[in-house]
Amino acid sequence: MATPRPQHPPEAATRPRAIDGPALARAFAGGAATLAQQADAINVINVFPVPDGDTGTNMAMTMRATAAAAAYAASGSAHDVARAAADAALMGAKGNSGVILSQILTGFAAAPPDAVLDAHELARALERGREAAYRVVSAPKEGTILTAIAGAARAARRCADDGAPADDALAAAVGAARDAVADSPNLLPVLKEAGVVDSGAQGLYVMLEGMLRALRGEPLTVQLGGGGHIDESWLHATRRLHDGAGAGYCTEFVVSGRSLDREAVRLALAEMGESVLVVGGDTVLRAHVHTADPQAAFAYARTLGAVSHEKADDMQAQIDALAARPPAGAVSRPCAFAVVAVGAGDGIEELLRSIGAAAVVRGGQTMNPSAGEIAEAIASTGAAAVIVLPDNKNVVMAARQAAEAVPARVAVLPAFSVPQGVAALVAMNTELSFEQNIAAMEAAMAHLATAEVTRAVRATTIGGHAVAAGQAIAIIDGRLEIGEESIERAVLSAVARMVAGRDAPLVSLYYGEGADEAGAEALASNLRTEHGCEVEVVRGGQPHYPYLIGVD
Amino acid sequence: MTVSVVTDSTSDIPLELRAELKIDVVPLTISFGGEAYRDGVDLTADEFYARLATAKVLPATSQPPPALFRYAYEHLASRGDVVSVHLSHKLSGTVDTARHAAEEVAPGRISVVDTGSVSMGLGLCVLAAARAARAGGSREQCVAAAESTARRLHVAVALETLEFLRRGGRIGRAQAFLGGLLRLKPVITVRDGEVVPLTRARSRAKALDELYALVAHAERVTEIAVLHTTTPDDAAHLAERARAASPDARLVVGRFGPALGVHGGPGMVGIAVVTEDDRSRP
Repeated sequence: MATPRPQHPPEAATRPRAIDGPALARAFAGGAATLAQQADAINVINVFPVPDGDTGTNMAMTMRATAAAAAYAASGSAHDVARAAADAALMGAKGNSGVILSQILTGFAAAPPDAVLDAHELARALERGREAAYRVVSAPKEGTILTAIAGAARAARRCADDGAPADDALAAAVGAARDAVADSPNLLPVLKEAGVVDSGAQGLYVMLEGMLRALRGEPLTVQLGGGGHIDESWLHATRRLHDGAGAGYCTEFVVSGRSLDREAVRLALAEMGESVLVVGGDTVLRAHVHTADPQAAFAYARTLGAVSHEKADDMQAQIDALAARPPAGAVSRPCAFAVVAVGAGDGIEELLRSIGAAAVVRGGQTMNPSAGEIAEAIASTGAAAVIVLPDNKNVVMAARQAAEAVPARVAVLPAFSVPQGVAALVAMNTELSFEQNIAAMEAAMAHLATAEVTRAVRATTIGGHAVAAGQAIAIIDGRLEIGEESIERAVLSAVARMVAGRDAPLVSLYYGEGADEAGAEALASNLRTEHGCEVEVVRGGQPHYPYLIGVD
Repeated sequence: MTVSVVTDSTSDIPLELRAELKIDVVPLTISFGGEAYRDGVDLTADEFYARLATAKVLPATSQPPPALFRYAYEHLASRGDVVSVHLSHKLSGTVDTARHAAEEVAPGRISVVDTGSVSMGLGLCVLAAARAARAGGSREQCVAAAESTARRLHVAVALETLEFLRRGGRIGRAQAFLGGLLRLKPVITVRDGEVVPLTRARSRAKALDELYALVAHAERVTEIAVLHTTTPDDAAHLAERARAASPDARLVVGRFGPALGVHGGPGMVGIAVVTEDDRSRP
């Protein structure tokens, strides 16, 4: 145990030097609350000029799952709480940022069971989290959440070595994370170009700040410096997200008043439903409950003070949607393996099933599915070996995490777009072995070029291209390549570039939100005349992207 | 004394090769509604496909009547031993009828071979037996030649649609390729007498590439056969590429007869390849 040193403020001696189970659970709840508050603000600073920024939402949802589990274990030791939190984070992790966050949280759970979470253990937890986070990213980049956790761990270590109490070590970590956020544009030129800070680093800072504030009983509010304005269309996209953790409505509200009694609120909400989580202090409480009657919860809240941030998501609707999933019609006999694909849009989901996906997980660029959702889909196939097609770069890590969590043998293939996933599925052959299918699918994917056509949500310059907000853009194989006056021109330019040098190219045009069949057919006939290539028009129904294009 | 080689009309061996190697062919029966035709005798491929395009009811194929085998065997056995090489018993009762007729006509003098294949897959086995016969081989040697070829045979068939296979009840495991919202071109094979899916292609050109890959990826190809139902240009182009890839192999270009055409439909193109080594399958 560290011994108090005189250079520390006198009140330090009166504060608890270590974090116990209930305190840690409170801290996680605080981190979840601040992330939830700031999710939108974090979302909008994604540098990619398309409405895909859901880093904040993903981190918030990951942390919400974490905090809920921690709350259940709150009466146990710090180790019990950390263990519960880490398990929940691993299963609830959404998106790459959520996965990295879950890895950081495992740092807390790796402490020996009898350890006390003092400043030294806190520093070690952050250090272990840093190691796990760097390991999970295949090509670590500085100026990101990785830099932020590294800085936070270093600061906590320095503070612990000075004999500070745990919350001071955490405060030092918070300060270092904030500095890392501010410094991120200097390390990542793409951020500087776009005039933003790194969203993942920002998310980590927000979470650590929330943890610290909860530990110290301070109001759970975080002020963000910089970061850009919130775009309405973007908010519309992210607000459709909700978790599906049980029956009824996932209900949340914030109540402001005087002498609020958190425990009384918690007990009252526990009468109304399950998964009750109440965080905050005397003047502001944030509450979360899964209940069949959200209006009753809101009415109760209004007896306490001013209610804001009301939210009630129908979880049953999601469960029903899941249950209504048609069986894998295309594969008619039991085979040695199954394929799970990820996709968004009714047309695309139906298409993926029709060509052999045993299960389709709804999600994509703006709604990264959690590792838990993917694991559930893997389990639902009942197959001993499963090939997962993430169909988006931001889903790959969650898919890998899901692979670790299920007993089935799982291969996560590098399908980074829906057209790539379709190409892989087309190459599927139930006559061949798991390994042969992986080889065939990877070969098919390698032949395919993808373009995503949409409108830039914010003005930016990437790779030397100046893009105005609202301008039509085409992203070819993950790189912004084309800015055009109209969506149609962006499609034509993108295809012209992709078919060049290809022998007998086949163009697949998936039309989605903001496009229609007539428009797609007009483009297709134009492309056939222009390039003499085959063009297949497919109703994708995907959000945000009027057109997805695959070229075989 | 030369061994006679007989096959059935599903072997799709071009007429001039049949004549050259003196191969006798027992015709299956094709019926359009109430009218029955002997495959390749009363009805040519051209006439068949012309009628198929407008037929309201799909024509049916049935194995040759036992009498046709008896006539053929009686005629040929009077001159010496006979080797009778046929399509898979899983696709048709033809080979069973042949065996039965052989027992009745000349027990011990007629060998009946089930190649497990059909069309030019079967045809290449027949050609091997006929060449062995012409080289003066015994009945056993001719049988061995056909059986050895059957083991070294690789077949791939590109279909425009699975609809004809499905309607004819021959789809087998290729039904895994049914449905789907894309216009996929199924590529199938026949393995041990069963239709087995190989792969699906996004376009006809890519499906034909898959057939070409069979030659391009095989080592020491000795025989190649390319057939089509209604697209001679596709077959010619594929044959040209195959010849370039394996210039030393013998190449046959022909047409699927009605027995196969009715199940594969218009636009079907197939390739059969024989390699020097026995095939080894996973």
